[in-house]
Amino acid sequence: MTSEAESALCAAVRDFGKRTLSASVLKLDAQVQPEPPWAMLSQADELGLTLATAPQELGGAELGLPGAALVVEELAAVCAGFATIIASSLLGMAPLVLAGDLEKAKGLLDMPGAAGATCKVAAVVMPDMGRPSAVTATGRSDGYILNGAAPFVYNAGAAWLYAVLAPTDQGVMWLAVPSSTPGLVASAPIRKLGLNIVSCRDLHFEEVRLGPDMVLSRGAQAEAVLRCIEIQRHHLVGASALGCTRAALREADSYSSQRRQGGQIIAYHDAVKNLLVDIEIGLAAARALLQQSLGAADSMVLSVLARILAADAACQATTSAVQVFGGYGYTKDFVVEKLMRDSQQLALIGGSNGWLRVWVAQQQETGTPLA
Amino acid sequence: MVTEYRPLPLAEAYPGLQLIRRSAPGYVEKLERVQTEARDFARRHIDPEALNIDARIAEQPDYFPWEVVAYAAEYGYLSFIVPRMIGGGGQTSLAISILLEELSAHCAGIANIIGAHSLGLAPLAAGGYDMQKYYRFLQDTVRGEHEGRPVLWAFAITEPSGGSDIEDADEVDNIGSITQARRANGGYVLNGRKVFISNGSVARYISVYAAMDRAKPRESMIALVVPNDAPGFSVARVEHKMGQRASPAAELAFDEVYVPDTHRLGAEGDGMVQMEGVLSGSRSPVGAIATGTARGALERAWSYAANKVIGHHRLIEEQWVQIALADMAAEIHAARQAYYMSAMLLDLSNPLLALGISGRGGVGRLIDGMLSAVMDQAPVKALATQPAINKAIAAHFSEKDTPSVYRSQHLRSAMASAAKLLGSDAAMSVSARALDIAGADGSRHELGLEKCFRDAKVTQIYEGTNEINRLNLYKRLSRLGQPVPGGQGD
Repeated sequence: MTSEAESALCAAVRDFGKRTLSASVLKLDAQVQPEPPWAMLSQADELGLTLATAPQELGGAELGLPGAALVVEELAAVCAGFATIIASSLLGMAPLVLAGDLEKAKGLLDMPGAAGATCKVAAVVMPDMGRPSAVTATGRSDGYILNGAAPFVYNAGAAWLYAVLAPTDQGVMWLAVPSSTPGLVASAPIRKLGLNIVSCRDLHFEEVRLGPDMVLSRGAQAEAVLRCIEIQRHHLVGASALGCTRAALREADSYSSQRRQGGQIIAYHDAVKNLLVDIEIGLAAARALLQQSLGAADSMVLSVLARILAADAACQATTSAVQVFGGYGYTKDFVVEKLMRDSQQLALIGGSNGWLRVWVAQQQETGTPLA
Repeated sequence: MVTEYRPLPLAEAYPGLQLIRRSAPGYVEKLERVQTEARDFARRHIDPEALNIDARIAEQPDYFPWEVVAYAAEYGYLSFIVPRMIGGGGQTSLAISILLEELSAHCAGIANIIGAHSLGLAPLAAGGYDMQKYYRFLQDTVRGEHEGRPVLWAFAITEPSGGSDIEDADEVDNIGSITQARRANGGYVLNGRKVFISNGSVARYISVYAAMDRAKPRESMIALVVPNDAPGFSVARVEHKMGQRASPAAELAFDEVYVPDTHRLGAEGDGMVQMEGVLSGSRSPVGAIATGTARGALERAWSYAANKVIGHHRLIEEQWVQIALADMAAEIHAARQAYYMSAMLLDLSNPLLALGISGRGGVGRLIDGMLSAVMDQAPVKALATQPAINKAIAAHFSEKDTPSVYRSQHLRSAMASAAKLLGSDAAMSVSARALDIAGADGSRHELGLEKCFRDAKVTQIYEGTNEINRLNLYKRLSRLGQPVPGGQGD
């Protein structure tokens, strides 16, 4: 995709966020049993967001990772939950796209979607960074059998297809598991802290039989795909966090320049200024590191550093935004309440910041240069 | 490997109490009893229901867990701070703080019901309890508790236009529009609105602060007890909150509400002084609620990490997790010491307590013992309302504190703000760290951890935002004459 086309897409996404998404954000967040927001996902689909990174032959926009990160950031600046649905779907599509077998990918895309779905949303099933997978594939003459549990799968229940990472006797393997496959059991939606509009479920694989045509990649290729998806995941989580931080700054800034206490607009009090400036510092630092990482040739470790910084900045920024709003910020009437929960939830995707720090240190231990 | 984090018993968590035990064994024994009973109450009546209540109120914000309040009444938590001579628990500031930490470790929302209730009662104590005047309010509270008819209180100061301004005597004049009380035959007529009032929608009595003269709120502040059936009083809305959901925050409307003179607390115009006294007393309990919330997060994260198997090991065997747990425990420890000290400062200035436990308070001890023995009987009222008793209390209060009362008020207020700051910041950082340890699993509702995180945030906001408390701490230190840059000294 050309850079002009990329910025046109970003403008369209911004417009979609402003016109369509922002009006429903609080209502969707308040749903107790969240249904995927199909109506809005269809609109996002028309913009080309659900297949943004897929090649044109598959109907995709061939957006690179930097472009995808921009789209996700724009969405997250309005609703991090919606951004996470799109980001998780892109990650779920990635093993299909990266496998390079377009005919197979086309065939899979033609399979029916989830009940009530008006567009195709994918999901990726892989453990937290550096943690063992609890799903295993056993080879048979007629294909593979999957067994095990995958906790906390984003888009589970909404996805038409799961891209599953499974260790086998011969190394890791990516398998395509259509949502209707017998033996694939999804739990009820997980009731969680934030990102309420994203359907998350625990998946159980009970003797799930898959034909050899469901193998997307294996061996060294599968390892390379995994590495690539890890990098994408860190950048997209980082981009979502950046969107949350932007939203926190926007909300805190506008509220603090209207609310009066102590005889003046609260933005004039150092106590509030400090909070706002810290949000700006976090935003600028996180953006710089994410951009550096997006531009790096091998960004495995750098992307983790950027994601840690971005997620920490978002958690701090959104907590401060609630503080600026005072008691009002603690109520569901203002979006900062949702921002704070969403950011904290984002920070746990693919491994918590505490664990990722340890992971980074382990890379150093094993001789991989840090950056 | 320890699979469960068990909180320490009182004297181990705060060794200073071992020293105090030598001179005032009763004080310490009472605290230990409070802690043991609170743990029992929490295990029986909070643990089975806390998550259900939280989930239910997410869908139905005006639901209130009366059944838990009824159990709390059985444990005497609704008359906990009411003087023993009226049949209450006569408990100290430290005791209620310890109670609140224990309850908060299980559910900060339920703890806050008891905290807000005691806060509503606190203005009655601010002037050293005028027994004669407040007897029927206090007695109704005690009777209600005995009769299975919980009588809850609320404390209403926050205004729509000024949450922070009204809590600060130097800023209260900046409030544009404040709830107003005007004189009317034999009483007052109230008009205005109060927001974010904990227990506001469920309280039988509400201690309301209003200005007689909107142009001079500081000089004309007045405190009035408004019963919830007073004509013109209504609950305008109940907030839909991030956390501490069991404790409702309500917007209250006062439309020409008549309040008789007998419902006035203290004198006309001393409302601001009363409020400052109450806030000095209520901020260390917030430190306790925050400490308990943090402890709840630590306990849950500890047992999660101890039970979570990853490959061939348990999560808690990873060093980064051990370091995080240690940091969390240290923060909780510091927060607890701060609220203990703040609460003890308050107890030192409590005349009833001083009479009960100090060496020269023999008369008080006698009265206290005598009255509690016949607590539910008719003669108690006659005795408790004797002006002589009130005079003795007042005399003791002034004799004890006259030379340094001004200084110690600043000290109490400063230490209360410090306890509130340390506790609430610990609650946020510990609960976020706990989520980090447990990862995505930590965000599951049924683990209770994400609830700790949601519950924690409001402790940085209520009873004065942390920003206001920092400024208050500076101001009080400077008035104590501490060598701070720019301090004015005394």
